[in-house]
Parts: sequence; structure tokens; C-alpha cells
Amino acid sequence: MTVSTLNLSIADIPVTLRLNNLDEPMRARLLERYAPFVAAAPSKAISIDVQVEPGPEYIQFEPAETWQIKNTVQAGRLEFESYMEKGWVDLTAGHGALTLRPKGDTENFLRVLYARQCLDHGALLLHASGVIRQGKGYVFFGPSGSGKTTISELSLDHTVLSDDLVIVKKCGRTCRVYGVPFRGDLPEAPRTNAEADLRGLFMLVKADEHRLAPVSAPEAVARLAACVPFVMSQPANAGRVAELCADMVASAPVFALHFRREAGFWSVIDELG
Amino acid sequence: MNSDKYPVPHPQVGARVVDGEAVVILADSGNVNVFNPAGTRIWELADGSRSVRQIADAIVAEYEVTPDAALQDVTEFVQKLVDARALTLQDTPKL
Repeated sequence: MTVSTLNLSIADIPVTLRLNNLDEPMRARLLERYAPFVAAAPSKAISIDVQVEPGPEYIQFEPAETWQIKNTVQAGRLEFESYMEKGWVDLTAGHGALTLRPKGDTENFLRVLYARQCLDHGALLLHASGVIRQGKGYVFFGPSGSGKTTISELSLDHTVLSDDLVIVKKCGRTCRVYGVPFRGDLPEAPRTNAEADLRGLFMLVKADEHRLAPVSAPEAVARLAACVPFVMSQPANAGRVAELCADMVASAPVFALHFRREAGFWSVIDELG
Repeated sequence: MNSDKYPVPHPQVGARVVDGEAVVILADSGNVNVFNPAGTRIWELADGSRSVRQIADAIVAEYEVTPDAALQDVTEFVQKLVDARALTLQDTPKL
């Protein structure tokens, strides 16, 4: 077995994975998946020891139930559990461990860890699609079924960051949007490591026409906060999420984007200038 | 509800006032609520230093409303927030 070190940098937030006893196909799959997000050199990263251990599912799978991802933070320790994965991170010491069943994956653990780490970096992992068009970043958010994947499908001529999750980070008076290696329902969506200044946040509304409608700042903060996964169940995080959402709404325009299933919606966005 | 109790935000709550309206996040459920300006004012006053009755008195001073109506409205609103675990009631004021 080969030990590999994977130094990830997603939105300039570093995490190192030490792949201890993974078989070659699994190791190769992870190296390929995260290749665009590998940092040249490790910085002050959280380090995670990843190992595979045969055994029963950590959570018994029940068909038709919502996908179970349990995570808690107590006294600076993140605990994570899903069907085929169980892990922990000492957030103060900066290290942790993830045990995978042979059919397990690092993906959901990383999503949870990054959602948590973003809060310490003035950023939010958002349940949203992201597109860079003509050098400008656009984020489209809403609950499941609101059209995030559709917007991504209709934007494949541009740089699609993700159809499911993006990171938005406050940078001085502006915000930047970053791609993440986490994909939703769009198989052709690349795992793009790109970033751009945020030009606008768009709350998706399926409609028969393309138009933009104003959204009040309080409603925008509320709708955006509702699209922050994994961290909201921690009381200490709820206030931080509210604060970051308010900062983002103050620094980038927010509209409700009413759209139908064709790429003409970009023309109403372009009218913003 | 005893109007001599002191309402204070529940520990599970994260909140921020944006453009005069409170955005209140309930960690337990993930629900996010936006309060209108009057609700926001009650939310701001419910910091543990004032009783329900004292909050109603403050509302009477700031809005055109009778003391009885203010006490009834504040009591109902506070009770809703207590039921939603957005506020808790204390017996003594928070210093």
C-alpha cells in the first residue's frame, strides 16, 4: 500500500489528506478527482488521516430516507458520521481522522469540514450554482428543485464552478466566488478551480419569462442563510452565518431571477451592466 | 404568560438586524425568520434586561398604541417566540 499526501486548497482554505491504506483504484480516483485543487505546497492546513477499514455500515441504510450526514461540534471537536464514513477533527489542534468502509468516500466529510472551516475564513459554503462569465462571478441559489442544475446546464458555454455548492468569501468591501470539487446532479459539470469577483447573487424562481425582481436586504439574508448547509445546527454558528450573509448582501446586488428553461436569462442579467 | 418575566434570546438563536428588520435563525430547525419593524423592536428590547410589561411600556412610548393593546400584542408575540424556542423567559433581569 502506498501512502499519499493530498494537499488541497479550496478557496485558499487548506486541508491535507493523508491517504494511508487506500487501495490503488480508490487512491487514484481521489487523486484524479481533486487534482485541480491540489496546492503546490502545504501551508497551515488541517491534516486528516484517511484509512479504510472493513466492517458494517456506521448508519443502517433505509431506502427512500433523506441521505444521513450527522455532524456535531463540541469543545472544538467536529464529529462526523454517515453510512460508510466516520471521522473527527480537533479543530484547535488542526488534525483529525476519517475511516472509510471499502465503499466509502471522502466527499461528504470534506463538504462538512469545508462548511465549518469557511466560517473561520469569512466565507460561506453555499448550496448554490456558480458561473464565471466574461470574468465576472454569478451565484444562483435556492432550495432543491429551484433550478441550480438547470442554470448550470444552460451555462456550459461559460465557466461553471459547480451546479450544487460554491464558496463565497468576503474580501474587503467585495466578495469573491470560488469553485469547489463538489458536484451535484450535472455529470458534465467540471470540478473547476476558478474564482472571480462576485457580480451578483440570484435567488432562483422558475417562471414563464425572464425577469429580475428586487429582493429586500432582510429577505435576501434570510434566503441566503437558508442555503448554508451543515453548519446551521450548531447554535454558535447561526449568528456567524447571519453576520456573513448580511455582509455579502451588503457588498453584492441580490435579485430574484425569474427564468424559463433557456439561456435567455443571461440577457436580463446583462442589463445590470 | 406572566408579564413580569424577562425574555431573552434562546441560546440556539443567531440573529442580525438588517435594514431595520431582524433576521432570526433557529439552529435546531434551521428555520430562518424575518420580523417586521414592530416585531424587530420587541426583539431588540427582549435582551433580558426588561420584563414583558416593561417592553410593552417602551412600545407605548414609541408607537401610537394604548397600554392594554401594547401589553396584549407584546405578550402574544413573546409567547410565539418562546413556543418557537427563539426566546426564553427568566425570573430575574440579566445584568
